Formats: sequence, C-alpha cells, structure tokens
Amino acid sequence: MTRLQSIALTAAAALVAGATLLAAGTSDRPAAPTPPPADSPTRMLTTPAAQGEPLIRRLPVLADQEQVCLASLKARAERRAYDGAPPVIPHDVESFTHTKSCLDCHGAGFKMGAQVARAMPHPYLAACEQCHVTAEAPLAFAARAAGPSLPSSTFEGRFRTGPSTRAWAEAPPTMPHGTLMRTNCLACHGRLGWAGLQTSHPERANCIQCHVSQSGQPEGLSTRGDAIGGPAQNSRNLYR
Amino acid sequence: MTFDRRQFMARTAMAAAAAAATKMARGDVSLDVLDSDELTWDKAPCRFCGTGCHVMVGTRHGRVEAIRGDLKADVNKGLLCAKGYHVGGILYGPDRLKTPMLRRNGHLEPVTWDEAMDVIADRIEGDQAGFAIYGSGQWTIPEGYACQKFIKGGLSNNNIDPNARLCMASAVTGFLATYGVDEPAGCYDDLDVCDVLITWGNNPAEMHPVLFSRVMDRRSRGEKVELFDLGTRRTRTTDFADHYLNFTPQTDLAIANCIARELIARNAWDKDFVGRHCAFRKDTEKPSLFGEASSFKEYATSLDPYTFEYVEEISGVPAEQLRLLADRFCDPSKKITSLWCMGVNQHTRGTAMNTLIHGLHLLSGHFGTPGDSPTSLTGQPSACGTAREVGTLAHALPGGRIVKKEAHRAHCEDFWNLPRGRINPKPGTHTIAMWDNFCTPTDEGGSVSTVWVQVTNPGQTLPNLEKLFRGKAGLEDKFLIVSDCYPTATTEMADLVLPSAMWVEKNGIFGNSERRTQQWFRQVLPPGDARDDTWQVIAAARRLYDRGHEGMRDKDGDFIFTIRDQQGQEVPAWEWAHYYDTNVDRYLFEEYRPFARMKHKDLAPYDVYVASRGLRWPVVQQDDGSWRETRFRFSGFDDPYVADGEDIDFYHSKTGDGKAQIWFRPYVPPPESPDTDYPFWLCTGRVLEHWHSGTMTGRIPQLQESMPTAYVELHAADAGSLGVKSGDRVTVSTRRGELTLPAWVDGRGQPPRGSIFVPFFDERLLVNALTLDAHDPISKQPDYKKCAANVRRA
Repeated sequence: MTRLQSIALTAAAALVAGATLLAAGTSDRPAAPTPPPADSPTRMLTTPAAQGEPLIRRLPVLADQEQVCLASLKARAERRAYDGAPPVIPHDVESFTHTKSCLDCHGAGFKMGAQVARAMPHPYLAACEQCHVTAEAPLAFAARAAGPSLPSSTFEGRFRTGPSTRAWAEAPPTMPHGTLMRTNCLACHGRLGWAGLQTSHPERANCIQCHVSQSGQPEGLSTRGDAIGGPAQNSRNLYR
Repeated sequence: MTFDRRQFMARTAMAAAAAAATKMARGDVSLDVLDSDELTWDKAPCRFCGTGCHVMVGTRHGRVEAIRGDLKADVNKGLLCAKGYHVGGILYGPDRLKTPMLRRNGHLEPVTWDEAMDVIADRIEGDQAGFAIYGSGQWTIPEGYACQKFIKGGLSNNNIDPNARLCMASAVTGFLATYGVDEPAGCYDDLDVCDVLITWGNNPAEMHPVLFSRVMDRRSRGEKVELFDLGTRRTRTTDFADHYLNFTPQTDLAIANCIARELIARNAWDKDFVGRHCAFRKDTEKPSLFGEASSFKEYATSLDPYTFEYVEEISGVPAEQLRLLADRFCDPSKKITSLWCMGVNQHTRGTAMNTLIHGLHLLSGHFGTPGDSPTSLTGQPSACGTAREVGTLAHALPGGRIVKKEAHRAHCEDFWNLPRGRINPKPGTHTIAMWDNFCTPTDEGGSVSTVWVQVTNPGQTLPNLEKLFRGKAGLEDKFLIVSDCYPTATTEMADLVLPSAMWVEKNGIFGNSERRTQQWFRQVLPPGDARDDTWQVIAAARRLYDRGHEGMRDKDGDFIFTIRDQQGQEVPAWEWAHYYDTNVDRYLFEEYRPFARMKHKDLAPYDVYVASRGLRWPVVQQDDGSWRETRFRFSGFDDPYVADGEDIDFYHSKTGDGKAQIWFRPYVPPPESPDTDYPFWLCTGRVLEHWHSGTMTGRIPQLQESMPTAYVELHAADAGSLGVKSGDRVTVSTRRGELTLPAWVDGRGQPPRGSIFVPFFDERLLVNALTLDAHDPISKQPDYKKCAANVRRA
C-alpha cells in the first residue's frame, strides 16, 4: 500500500457519512487493536495519524468507495506541484480567444458526458492564465524542441491534507485543509465535484456553519517577524 | 537556524535518489500522511520579477515543500502568478552547482573554495585596473552593497555595472532628467483607483501579472477601468484592452508628442500645475542627461509638426485613436496611470521616451494624487533596491551619489572610513563597454582582463552575443569568473565557476518597483558547497587583505568588511563556518542605511523590515517612535519631506526651484529599420512562464512543459507568403547572426504584418545572437525591441 492510498483511505473514512469515530480519551474507548500488516488496506484506518497524537479510530469503509476516493485524490494531486498550488490546465486553451472563455465552463461548472469542468473554487479573478498554465505546451511543434530540456527540479510538494476528524459519531467532520482560494466548497464537494469527495447534502449552502477548519491554521500565516512584533506600520489612509 | 544539518543532508540525498519517482505534473505523486510534521512558514519576496509579491514559504525537514500568496502583503494581497506559485522548485534542479570549479586544459575541474579565492586574488593582483564585476538587479541589497564597496572602496577602479543597465537604465535617466532624483513618485495603490490605465509598449498580463490583475479584477467588482494598450504586437494585455493602438516601432516618441501638442492646441493643459511645479527643457546638440532650459513657447513650437495627420502617417495609428487618447489626457476628471517597462526602456531613445511620458502627466496635471501617476515598472526584483539605490553602476556611488563629484566621493570615504582619494573619480565601464572591452584583445585596447559575474547570465542576455560575449573565446589572457546556481550559457565560457546559494537559502533584502524594501531570512541550506554571494565577496576581499592589499584596509588599517555581532564582537565572516554566527545582512544594511538619507530615500532599521511585508521609502520615524512609509512621493498630503501647505514639491529639482522638467524630445528614426534584405521588424521579450534566461523556470516541470521552446511569432499573411504554417522551422537572420526555430502563427502574441517576435528564455535558441547592440546615448541601454530581420523557410 502506498502513502497515496493511505491518504485516500483516510479522507474517505472521514468523508463517508456515518463513519464512526471515537474521540480519544473517553472512558468507553475500546482497547487499541493490533495494527494490521503494513500493506493492509485498512492500516491507516486503525493507526493513529502520528505518534503522540490523540487516538482517533476510524472504521473501515467500503472498498469501492476507497478506490473512487483514491482515484480522485490522485488525479487532483497529479495536476499540482503541492497542495495549494494552482492546478495546471489539462486541455488546450490557445483555441480560445480570450480568458473570459474559461468562465463559460468553469464559472458555474459544466458536465457533458463524462467530461467535467469544475467550477472555480475561488472568487472570480479575471486573468485565469496568470496562475494556471497548460499541462502540455500549446505549440504543435513542442515535440520538435531543439535538443533536450533542462533537467527537472526534484521539488517534492507537500500534499498532506487530512485526515479530518469528528468529535463524536454524528458530529460534522472538520475540514482537513485550509480555505485560502478554496471558498467555493461545492467546486470540489458539490455535484460536479470529485467522485468520492462529494457531500451528501449539497442543498445546504453555508458549509462553514458546521465544518470548521481542523488545524486552526490561520490563512494569514505568521512569520518570525510577526512574532517579534515591532514598531512598523503602514502609512495612514490618505486617499482623498 | 533550527534544523539539523545532518538531517538536512540525509533528506537531500534521499530526495535525489527518489527524484525519478517524484515528477510533479504527471506520474506518481507522493501524498504524505504518515509523516505528520507540519510545515514551518516564513515570509519572502518572490524571486522573480520587479512586482515584489510576498510569498509564504512552507518548509519541512530542510526542504521547501509549499508556497502560498501572502495575505498580509499589500503588494499581492494573497495572490501570485504561475511563476510565483512554483518558485520553490527553483532550488531543486538536479544539476545545481555544488562545488567551485576551475578550468584546466579546457575542462572545469573541482577546486576548493580556498583555491578559488587564491585564483581571484591572483587575478586582482595581476591587473587590478582590469578587474570588473558584472552584477544584477537580482542581487540582494547587501550583495550589491558588498560588491560596490569592494570595487569602489577597495579596488578603486569603478568597474562595476549590473544587468539592470539592460533593463532599467533609461528609466533611471528619465527620472533624473525629469525630477532630479530616481524612482517613481506613485506606487501600486494608484492601480486601485485609476480610471484609465495606459500600457506603453508593455505586456503586464504576462510580465507583471499580479499588478495587471490587480487592476483588471476591479472590473469584476463593477468598477470601470479603461485600458489603452499601445503596442507593436497584440498580447494577452491586448485581450483586456478597450483600445489597442498598434504603432510602428520607435514612433511612440511621435505619439507622445502628438498628445502633448493636442493638450496645448485644445488649451487643456494644466496651466496652474505647470506654472507652479514645472519648467521646460530640451536637448543640447549632443544629447545629455540635463540638456538645457527651454520655454513654454519654444516647447509648443517644437511640438507643432506632430499633428494627428503626420503622426498617423509615421506611426500607423489612426488619428481617431490618437484623438481618443488625447481626450483622456485633456479630461482632468479622469485619473490616469501609465505603466511601462522594457518597451520604453530598451529603446535607443529610451531616456527620451521616459521623459515624454512623465512630461505628458505633468503637462496635463495627471500627477501627484492617487490614481494619477506615471509608473515605471522594473523588470527585476531588486533593480530598484540594489542597482539603483545602492548604485552598483559604473558611474554611481550609494544613495544617489556619483563618482565624478568630489563631495560625493568624500561622503562615501567618510562613511567607509577610507583615506581621502581612495575612490576613483573616473567612471568605470558600463555594461556594453565592459563586455566589448573584455572581448577585445588586450593589445588592441581591451583593458578589462577579468570579469566576475554574479546573479545573471550575460552569455544569454547580452545583445549581439557573438561580439559582446563569445568574442572572449580564444583570448588566453582574459578570465571569466561566474557565481551561479546552475550551469548556464555563461558558465560554459567561464574559467572559474563558484556555486551560489539562492533565494531562501540565504538571508536577503530586495527593493521592488514601488520603492518597497523587503527582507527575508534563510530558511533552508544551500546544497553541497554552495555559498552566499556576499560571503564570496567578503572572502575574496579578506584573501587580498591577508596578502597585504592596501585597498582592503580602511584608514585605520582595519579590514573594510569588518563585521560585528550585536554585542559588538568582531565575527570572522570571511570564514564560511562563521558567516552565519551573526546576521551579516543586518550588519551591512545598517552600514548602508545612512547613505540613503541624502536623496530622502530614508530607510528604517533592519529589524523594522523583519516585522513588516516591506515598507516604501522614505520611511520616517514618527514622534511616537513608529516608522511610517510614504506612498505618494512629492505630494504634500503624504510625503513628509514636502513642507506643510504645499501640494507638490519636487525637492530634488535639478533647477533647484522645486520644479520638474517637461522635455521636448523629437521623434528620431531607429538605428536599423526593415529594408529589402531584412524586411521584418524583430522584437524580443519574455513570456509568462519563464523568468529571463530560463535558468530557474526551465527546471520547473509545470512551467517548462507549458512553454518548452522558443519560437517565432508570425502574422498569418506573412506565414502564408512564406509558405509556412505553425510548427514549420524557419530561419530568422539579421546582420549579426541567424537562428532556426519553429514558427507560431496566430499564437499567444500576434505581431502585425511585417513584424516577428522571439522570446529569449530558451538557452538552446539564443535570439540575442541576432539583436542589436546600438544603445541610448544617455543611459547606454541597448534596444532589444527592434531591428531588421529576414525570415525564410529552413
């Protein structure tokens, strides 16, 4: 079992409605089970997220659900350098005459046959191609580049986005990721969202009413300098 | 630093071993849940363009693993561009330079840093006058400052110039000629309130994407922003434009004069503003920085020929469109911001064109209030902070001083505790002269014998490469030293290669386009034996000092780079093992700060920048001890150096009366225009995915796969008559060289008929073998944007 599978299972466990999670430290907590072998598909479901963390046991989920979720997370990760990076565009764009064309499909989301164009998870920003580049060169002649390309970076992006947790069995799961540029939850979790990650209740519009950010990671991250504080200030607002 | 070096090394080795399995865009990805260690976040400015976005860098186990736009940053408000989001990848090319290498019998062979320093010291002792440093607008402020002090205070030869000469020199001379002092009056806040945005030969949608979308996103909030795009080819910026004015290369001069003429003809110029704050200026017979005084009457008469009809004829822009642009300048109720960058600067009349844009804003009174601003954009992250403010140019000294002025030399000698006369009054060689001289045999007058290159890639980015770079081949007594992170077109020719730390592998300070000084800390370690550029300079200086070199001693006999920790104890910073015993950046920055006061570019103490996302100078201390930045320079409502009650004061006016200069500068034909043999205009430039010569971005798979090769953009009609379609190979030739590359018809950019465009990022397809080394007579900046070329099927 790969680490990739692990996260998929973990996420699946957190997302599947009705999965029972028991909070650590409660008196009726069952004894820790014997860890399954390393290659067992249920390993992550019964292993604490990390040593020393409160134990949150997760029950096995249906095998097909796992596979669906796994495939979705893998597809999602393959389009990004790290969790939080803008995904690359998996199709040609040069035939579109204007970046406004992106909105035709990605504004509200769009499905035709098996093809899905997901809605933007972030508020409307006019210059799509500022952040999103095509996965493959738009140029018909790319294959005929003169000589070998420069060697690729060995940058390893951080993809850890879970697991989410629940305080008790019926509690709404926490969000296992931040919300920077991800304020339209339904882009991924709605009906046109990723298989295995879709919500059971898309009719409820205000997601963050019940689902809170788990990590407490503030989106405006702090630096060493912020910790120091200091006398710096921006100038007062002096617009006429 | 808190992470363990051994752990880091192990991690690096592991990463290298796993390299094949971790290709990012496709194939297997590693979704790490077993390891729950959280990322550690810290701030840094982006490594790429002059916008100066702030990124949050996520590190873990000594590696950068994630990037975020910094929500606390005024510049980018949490957003980045494709390059910025992938900036972490630049550190991890598998071919990073990790050990010093010396060329022996034609091959680069590993040597120790100790040997490398001896080689540098030998070269300097052998020919001190012929030793030069060629640096960069990507130098950090302390890096540039250390080189500046080394060359001008230590070697006394003034042979230091940055690649910013190829990038910003005409912007600098434009500011000096107009306001008497460098750098913009306005700032990015203008973009939030302007009604009209004019891009003069500028494609910010690709080159300064975050600034461009900062304006364009206002439209999606229901605001109206009218965009005039003046260009010589259609670009992504044109996609957003309300009006696209396609002009014949070089005729931007005539267009600006036409608008000025119309302001006067309609009696719509701002007489009150001009009367109180402006004077008129014109060229002397030989163009010079300050020319000579003129009068309104003379100015108006000079503009007379630039009628709509005449300018339509030479520029190709319909009179109707010119009239529309004039309408906006004539309307005092509209807030107008102009943006420009390389189209105006890389111009054989770059100084002139810069002054004309400033002049239009001054003449029309569209100046000095939020949204009304002529804003020159810089290409590089610290072209302003390092090249311009530290003054790492052949004629300059820190803080707006020049070597020619005795008083300025004396200031610097005092600041540096050097004996009188240490600083040479004769300017050194500017970029084009330095490389021309370096590539000329010594017995034919090529007196520059050694060039030390830092943080730039002249082997790819100089114009007319055959003459200005490859000419070095075979000249046995010439010696090229290159500090870099990756093998490049420049290291290929190098005799000594020094591996450098980059970006968050070192402490740094940049200064961006809007006068904002930005600090960051080292967050990961450089690979192998790569070391900071500042350290390299201090170590070379120390080697000379140890050998008894007088220039490396101040007037008390102490080492010129004596570094002290915060307790005042001397730190042997020339020893790498002790370099990070204290924060050398902090020490050098505090040493440099007092230089900035003379031109009222006041800087706050280093620690204040640590606690901010950069501050725009002048940063002045308030009565309560806090430090306040300035957004609108010369404007009474914001600039603390404008006296109470004044609305505007150009307090560094060349004429000493608080006035800015409105210049008349005529249209002059370009040095080379299309003709029968070379019937096309050739323009070169950047693309969104790649930074400059592609050394960093070319190693980031997402960017490289999206834009894998240089190409030549052709108009469909030209392609048709050549019998060429997209993907066919064509040969582009100029009087200087030729290059075969694929054609792209109706591609990302669309040149008009008779024009072609080639990007310069691809080191396999060096378009600068074709470009012209003709340059602006005042700024010495060459023109990469227009020369005559031929195209044929390959």
